[in-house]
Amino acid sequence: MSGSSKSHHAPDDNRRKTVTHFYKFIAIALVTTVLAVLFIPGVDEFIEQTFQRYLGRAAR
Amino acid sequence: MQVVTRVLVVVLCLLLIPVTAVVTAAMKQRFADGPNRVFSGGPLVSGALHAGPDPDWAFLDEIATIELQLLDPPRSRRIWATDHAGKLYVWSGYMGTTVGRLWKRWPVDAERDGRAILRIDGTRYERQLVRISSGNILDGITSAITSKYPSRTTRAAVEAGDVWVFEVAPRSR
Repeated sequence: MSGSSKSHHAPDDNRRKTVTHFYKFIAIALVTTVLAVLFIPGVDEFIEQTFQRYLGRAAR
Repeated sequence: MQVVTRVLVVVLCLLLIPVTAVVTAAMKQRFADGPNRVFSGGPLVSGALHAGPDPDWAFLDEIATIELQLLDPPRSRRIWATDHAGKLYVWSGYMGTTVGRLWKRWPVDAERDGRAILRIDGTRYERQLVRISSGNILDGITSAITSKYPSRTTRAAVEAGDVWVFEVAPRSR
């Protein structure tokens, strides 16, 4: 009986873990992005250049 | 429906990364002495303040962009500039589009309070921006613009409000 219950909950647990991992990944990516833009030379320039290209197209 | 919601959440989370990069870069530029490309910079601090009579603005033919700061709000940006008949002019395109109006806030601010500081080749000039929205002078100004830059600015575009042109007049005026 307990074995059947375990197998029933396993997919839910896996899904929850996947979601948690995904949110952790996003949080780490965001922090890394902020630090890279602030402290790695040239990253802010690249971001601005890319944004300028997008804006130029969007504003036409 | 649940799948759609999940996909939407994932897409939004992933979009958050480039948005964060752009916002961070823009915030960083606000603390700098002057602008870079599209992001506004802080007040123009360095550079000697020009005193005396106006220079011959013809030297601008060799300069692609200048730095312009309004006193209110005290933010700076890099813009195109040209001279015509001994006077200096700046302008802003895309003013007829929604994205353009969101992007280009300085022309609206400048029309409200035209006090400005320019920095050209490391020298700062205290000036007053005066909008020109009609008149025969626009033929000469737009001609100067199109001969200097790959721009299709026309008098009709200025008079329609798609392009806002400002004379960069002496502050005392």
